[in-house]
Amino acid sequence: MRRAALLLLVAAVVAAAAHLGLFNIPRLARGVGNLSQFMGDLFPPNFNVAGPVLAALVETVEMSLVATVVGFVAAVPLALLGARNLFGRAVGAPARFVLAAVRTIPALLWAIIMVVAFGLGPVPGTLGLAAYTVGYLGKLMYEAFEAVDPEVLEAVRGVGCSRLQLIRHAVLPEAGSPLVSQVLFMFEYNVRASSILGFVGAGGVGFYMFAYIELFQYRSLMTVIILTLALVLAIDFASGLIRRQFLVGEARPGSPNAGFLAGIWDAGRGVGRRFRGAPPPP
Amino acid sequence: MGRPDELTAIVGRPEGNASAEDGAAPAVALRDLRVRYRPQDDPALSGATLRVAVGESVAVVGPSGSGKSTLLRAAAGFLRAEAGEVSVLGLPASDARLRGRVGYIPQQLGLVRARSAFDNAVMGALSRTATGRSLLGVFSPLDAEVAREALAAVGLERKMHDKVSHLSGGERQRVAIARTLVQRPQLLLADEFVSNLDVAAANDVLALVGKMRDRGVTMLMAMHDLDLVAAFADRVVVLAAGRVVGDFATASLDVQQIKAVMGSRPNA
Repeated sequence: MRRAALLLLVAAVVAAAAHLGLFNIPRLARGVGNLSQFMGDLFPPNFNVAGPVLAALVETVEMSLVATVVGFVAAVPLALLGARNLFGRAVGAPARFVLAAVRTIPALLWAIIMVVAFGLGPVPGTLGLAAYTVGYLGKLMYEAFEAVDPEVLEAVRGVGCSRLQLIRHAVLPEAGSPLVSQVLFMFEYNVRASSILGFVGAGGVGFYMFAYIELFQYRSLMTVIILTLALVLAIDFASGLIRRQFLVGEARPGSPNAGFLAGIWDAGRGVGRRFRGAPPPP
Repeated sequence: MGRPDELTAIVGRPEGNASAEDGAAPAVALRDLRVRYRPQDDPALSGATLRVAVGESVAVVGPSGSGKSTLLRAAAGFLRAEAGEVSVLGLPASDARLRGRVGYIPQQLGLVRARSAFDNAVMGALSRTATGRSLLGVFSPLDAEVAREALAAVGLERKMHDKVSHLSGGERQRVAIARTLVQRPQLLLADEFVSNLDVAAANDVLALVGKMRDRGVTMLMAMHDLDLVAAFADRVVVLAAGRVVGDFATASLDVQQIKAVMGSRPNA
């Protein structure tokens, strides 16, 4: 049964690839040649453009930061309304529909819509990213709220609290670690997404990427790529540190906070200890 | 373990006055209660009838799946009955006027693990704290002091600011009791909350709860250790297959008889 399913999957992939023209060997061969020439044109990078590119990267980070925070603030009430364990299906369904509708439009399209409405520059880019953040983060958050242990909710309801008190004192603290992780993920996503919003005139470093491609200045483009990569790696590292602070600090066996990332971190620490010859923790 | 004198002092009388307010109404009254979690499931309670008088201490025993947790959750107002009635302190179990008057400790305690022992204990005062204040995390100085004293009384004054996720099982049990002490309920519903403790620790915890009982709090607790039941409860109610199949005074408790009843099937 499994083998038949696997064969069916392989057949479907091969058929789709053929339909897409991926078996057009002469064309692929020409493309590989073009690609190697393009890669050659990227080097050596032209670091003379580093100044304005760095300024654009700062703008990209600013756009991502503001969009993530604004999107988070707007998403929290919608996500709370969408959590069926808090407001039931009658309220949850419309809230989820709104979030799904917002999420259906990709960030780039949101940016185009905002450029049409507000003109060129980082403002429409930031608003476009914020809109997408609401839809995406809202879904992740209502799932985190619904994952809160029902016994905790019943026990805190049992002391006679109101629904707002329940949210403040039980739901948000219990869902805190996943929320931190999701907001950091969204910030990382927004940094990556905002780096191409400049293609549609919505600010950020994408403006330079687009301009250097249009002007065939591939060595300058390589500088943009290197600096963008360095920024993304730096943000990944920083958010990793923050995650560990929030996730590992609370994680204990049996705790809902003992999440996937904390598990990876603990496993990594174990490997590191063995590598250094240190004894395992008690 | 704890400071019983302080405990007695802080527990005080429960909030409200059941006997004056509710006349002769029992603390808990279930009549032919039928509860089903999903339409396709067998009923978790299938015609359970039970009456617990104000001030009484009743233990509910029965095999796994007999409906003990469901009975307590129904009394706490968390479940909708398919048939029958459940009233608490003279009101329907889900009535908003019962807010804060009924304490509930689930089997896994229901503590907010990312918060400190103090934060969890002071949550017991939420029902008498204005929503606006509590949203800012502000409690009255009196309630904060009561929470500190409750934690000291259960032996956790040195771990007051430790996160619950860092506490041991026994310490968490004490935090749950401290939260209930701060709440000052008239009725306490507790679901096997000493089941994971060794006998000595369970006796310690039950001694704390016993102080509440001695101050007039009605108790309805699911338990499985019949020796603890004998030491703690006035009455033992036996559940099997979602129905009450036995009701004994602990003064005349015959463990073998209860075990025999627990193993029997109720008449349809």
